[in-house]
Amino acid sequence: MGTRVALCILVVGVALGAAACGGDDDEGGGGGSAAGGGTPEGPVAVSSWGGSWTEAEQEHIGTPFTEETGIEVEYKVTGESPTSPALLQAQSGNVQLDVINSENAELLRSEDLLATWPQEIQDLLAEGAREGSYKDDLIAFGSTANVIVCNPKMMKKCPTTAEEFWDVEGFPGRRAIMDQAEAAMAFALQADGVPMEEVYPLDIDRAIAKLEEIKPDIRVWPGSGDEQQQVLINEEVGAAIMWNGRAWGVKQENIEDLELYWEGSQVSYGSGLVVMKDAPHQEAAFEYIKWILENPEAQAAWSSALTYMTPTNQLNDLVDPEVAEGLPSAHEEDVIVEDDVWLVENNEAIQSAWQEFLAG
Amino acid sequence: MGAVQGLRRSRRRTWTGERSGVTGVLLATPLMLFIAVLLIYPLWRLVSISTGPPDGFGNVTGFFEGSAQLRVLRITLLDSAIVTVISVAVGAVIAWSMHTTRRTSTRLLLWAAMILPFLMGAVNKLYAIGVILQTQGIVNEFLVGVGITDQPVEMLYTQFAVVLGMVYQMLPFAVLPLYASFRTISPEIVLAAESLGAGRLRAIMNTVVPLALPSVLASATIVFMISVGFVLTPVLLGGATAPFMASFINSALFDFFNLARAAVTSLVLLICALVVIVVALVFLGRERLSKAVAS
Repeated sequence: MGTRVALCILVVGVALGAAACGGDDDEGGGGGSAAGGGTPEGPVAVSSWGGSWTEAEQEHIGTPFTEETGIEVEYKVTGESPTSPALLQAQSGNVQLDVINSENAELLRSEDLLATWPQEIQDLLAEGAREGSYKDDLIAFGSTANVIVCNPKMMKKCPTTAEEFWDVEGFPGRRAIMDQAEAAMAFALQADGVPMEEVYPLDIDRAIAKLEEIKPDIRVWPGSGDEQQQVLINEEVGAAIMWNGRAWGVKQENIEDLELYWEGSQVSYGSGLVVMKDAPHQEAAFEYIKWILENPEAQAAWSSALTYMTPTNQLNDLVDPEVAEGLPSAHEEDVIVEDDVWLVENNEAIQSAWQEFLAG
Repeated sequence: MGAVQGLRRSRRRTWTGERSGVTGVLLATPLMLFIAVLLIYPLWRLVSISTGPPDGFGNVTGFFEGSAQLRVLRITLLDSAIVTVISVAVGAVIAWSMHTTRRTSTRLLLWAAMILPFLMGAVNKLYAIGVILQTQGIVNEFLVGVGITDQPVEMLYTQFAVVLGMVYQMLPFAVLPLYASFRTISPEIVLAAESLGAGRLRAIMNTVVPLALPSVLASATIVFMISVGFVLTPVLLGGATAPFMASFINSALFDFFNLARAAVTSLVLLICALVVIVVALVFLGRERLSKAVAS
């Protein structure tokens, strides 16, 4: 009995020891691990949003990429946004993410954390990507716009512009504005008469003053994409300021007559896929980006699933026609491009003012 | 000769339950290391980050400059206190019923009502309360349908919704410790007091309550500490205009990208919560407190 127990412990101990030793061979080797031929070592760690975004990413990009190149891809969903873990990791000197679905690449760029694209990728971009949809360290993936949305069943008259949204007497009905400072302020300024070209740089005090006017009439300030959709579906509100992709999702699945209004909406081209300068598997990460650029059908499939834009200049051809209508690329005259550099430089002022306004 | 020596040896080595001081310290060392690494070091780091860059101690004083922070701190502590009082009051009634009821069906029902919410995820519970309270939800449909009101009552995004949602989630935490201690109180002492002439209420006040008070305090402490840390419920049921402090910690990290700000907010919340608990416990009587600690 005693020898049997000892034998069991020995076997378990050896097994555990072997597992621990044979475990991970890739200890962050800084830039460029694969010298000469052969596939770069994965796995590529991609910081992503979670939910339907990551599902679509896995289905249309990750899985076919791994099938074709043999490099594994791991999607990491942490915290509220994909950029924050990258920033915090860099601050503590231990970068473990390779590719970031950054909603605010300027933030990482201003801390000098991004890798510039190698020549191969730059050539692919010059050839196949839309003008303005890339920089030398970013491809604008998943550009989303903040739009005004209205459910005609619940609102007698639908507000189509920021001014009308703010007119609670002329356009009565319950409203929601998403808890995102830049979107609310940009719309507030336009409601106060600022023309589209002069919205950036944001006049924060003027925007807050205008927002104070409408605050009592805003029923809810949804925080997450899900909440934005739920308040429309539950008929808590009839009009909202929210993300175009989420609005499109509600239109497809719940409220067919939902209207999206693009005049004065803002799109951010400062968000997209970036690779960290200190990424542990940088070569593999570049392969991931390269694969995306070489496969516009995958981009279009992802774009159709979520109604967010991708860089390929063949997007309008490859994407379903009904989906094309829901993309900011079909409304370019009405859409303001966010000034992401200014937004990052003044982030603290914007967020403080927003926090005081909302909870003060 | 050998037998006498054996006796002397055994008298010198009589076994006692007390170990020497050195052995005691050695035995406690693993636990002390645990506490040092997992409790003291993180707290020290929290304080050092709060008083570090960029402003040193100015970070902490800067915290009190914004009106939003003070308002949210007040909301957090006040709502948590309300939730604690309601949870413990209702929980005491439920726990006492669980202990004294003679019908198995009632006891099973109460147990199920306490355990099942534990098995549900927090998000499920929140959505359930949201769906019940929303403008087109069950309660409003009933009120309007029966004719009690003409327009649906807006129950969501109010303090009422937040307190309701939190009490629903905190009840099991209040009931289970109370039940554990009520089990040691025999229901017959109430009958004994009544037989001596006390009314039902006075009987309970003078017999059960003094015995149960230590565990009521412990239960209230647990509920309060958990409540002040709530994030989702206040925002989803009360709206983004009345969040709890934890939302600000979240915001400090993911909107401001400012570690010091997050650390200061956490520290302020921790200290305020501790102060409230200590003041409440002292106020409710030091002898009860020492009894609670000893038992």
